[in-house]
Amino acid sequence: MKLLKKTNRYYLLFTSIILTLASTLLFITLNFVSEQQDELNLHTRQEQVINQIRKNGTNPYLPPYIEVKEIPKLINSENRLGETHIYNPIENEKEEYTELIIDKKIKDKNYRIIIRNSHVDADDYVFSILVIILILFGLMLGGLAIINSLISSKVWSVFYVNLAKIQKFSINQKEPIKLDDSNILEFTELNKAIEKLTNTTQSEFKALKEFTENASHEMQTPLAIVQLNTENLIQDVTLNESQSKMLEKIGNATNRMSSLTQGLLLLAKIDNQQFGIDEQVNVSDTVNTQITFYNDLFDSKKLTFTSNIESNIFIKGNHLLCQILFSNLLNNAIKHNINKGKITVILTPKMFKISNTGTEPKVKTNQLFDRFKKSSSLNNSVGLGLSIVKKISIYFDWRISYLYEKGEHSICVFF
Amino acid sequence: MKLLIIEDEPDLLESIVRYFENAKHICEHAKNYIIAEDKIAGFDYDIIILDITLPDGNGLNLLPSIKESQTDCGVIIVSAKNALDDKIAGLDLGADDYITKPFHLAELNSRINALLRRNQFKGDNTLVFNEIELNIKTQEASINKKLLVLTQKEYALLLYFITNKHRVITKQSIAEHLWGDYMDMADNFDFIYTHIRNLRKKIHELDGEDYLKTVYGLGYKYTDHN
Repeated sequence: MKLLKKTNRYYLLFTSIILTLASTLLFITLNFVSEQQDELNLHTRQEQVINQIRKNGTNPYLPPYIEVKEIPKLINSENRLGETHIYNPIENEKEEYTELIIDKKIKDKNYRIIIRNSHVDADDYVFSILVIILILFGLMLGGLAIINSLISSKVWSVFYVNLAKIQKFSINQKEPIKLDDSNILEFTELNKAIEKLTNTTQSEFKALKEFTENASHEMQTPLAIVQLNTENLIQDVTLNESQSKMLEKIGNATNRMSSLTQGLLLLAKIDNQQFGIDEQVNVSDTVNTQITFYNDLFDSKKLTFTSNIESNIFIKGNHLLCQILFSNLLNNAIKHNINKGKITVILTPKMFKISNTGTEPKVKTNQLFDRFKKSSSLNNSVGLGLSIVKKISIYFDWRISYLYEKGEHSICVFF
Repeated sequence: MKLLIIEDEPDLLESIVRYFENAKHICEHAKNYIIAEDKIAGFDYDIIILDITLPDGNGLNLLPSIKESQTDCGVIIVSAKNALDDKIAGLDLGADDYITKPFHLAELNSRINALLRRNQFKGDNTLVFNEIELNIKTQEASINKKLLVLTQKEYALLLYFITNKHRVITKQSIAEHLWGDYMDMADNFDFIYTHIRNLRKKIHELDGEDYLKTVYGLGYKYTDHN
């Protein structure tokens, strides 16, 4: 749940409890004070009435407030406090009264003195006060919630802006991350920490990429030296068969190493975004050219080749990378094919599909595009081909999928 | 032919020099920018092989002065693979061709010869090997003056062999020469057999001698020596 909601919930719960307690307490206190006042009032009036009777001998009679009756005998000479309901003809309803009753002997006569006070006013007061307090508390709560919302969304907006920036961040991007400032301490601290983290990771990543590129690059020269010296060595006419074989193996291994470093270098360059993607590439032509180049390889394995290539399909991308992509896919289809197998190529404005017959892959499908995972035991394949294909697809934002069904591998590239 | 090889890596330099001196060419070398500049200003060359990654400067910057002080000199730049920018820049600045590291000496030789033919004969000459004659301009081959009808690849193959005569050429270098960069990923070059077999057959049909010798598993040698 959102932070706002959570904190609000706690505030509201806490405030409600406090306010409920406070209102209850207030109510009880007001009532108590009111009753105390009432009692005091009754006692005072009682005193006044007793004095009046004593002095003037008159029997005050003001029902229901004051009732004095002569009684033959004193029944209860203690003060009795009670509640009673009396009908008020003016208001036409029964009203509540507190009454103080005492039986007293004044100047040789026995009197029952009843003093009454109406609750109504006091009750009304208490009720009004309570209502006002409750409304006030209600406003407070409501106001608290609203102000909380308004201020919080203003305060949190910076957070959300920065959150979006962080979500869009890629370690590979050229610029470092730039977060919006805030005058809230926690957010500033967080900003600084994130900027430091991303800057460090970016520079380390860049260093790693440069290292890979440099290493691959540096390897070209020793490889060239091996190759050239081997080429000079094989000119020697006194070589015997076993020596020739060894030189052949050296030659092959050097080729594989060369392929490998070229591939790694290419991957590093793509990572480095060293290839533009603004060219309008005639994909139909590219595919057809590649196929022409590979014709001889088709023949050598006696492969049947069928194709359905729509012409004049143009896609935004990079010429060289497109060539490499299709070349790798074709090469792969030939390499992992069986003798007298077949290859099918389909090209539409939406996708490129290549299928080839072949044995079941030994590697999990989702790992096929990882570096160096080879799907068959062909020792000579370097294993980078498909990962280059994958990287180029990602670079161009093309989706790629692989399927093995009924003895055929199919790779589909969606533009 | 007089060659200038501008290369900072001594082992590479030595291999190249050895190869071309064996082929009876005059080789001079420069191991850095300053020495190269000096030589270019002072002497004439037929071909300059220029490695653009020099320790004290970008080799590409030598191209303008080469164009200025050399006449009819062919320049081949040596660069890293997939370095498209370097290639384009080099060709724009006046280089005639480029080759990427690592390369085959046979390939370098082939390119240098093609350059020479372009520069010195303006592409109009014939290459002769015993009874075989190749007309560079028309790209036609003949044996004892009889026309040998060849496909484009077969002609290129024959030209490659004759240019690199008496030397063992690997299958890989043949594949790369004929099919270009796409072949560096192929693990098996046996597909070139077909073309070689067809070429041999056509030459045989015209009573030509088969100078193409297979050398164990290493490759082929086109020679009339025994």
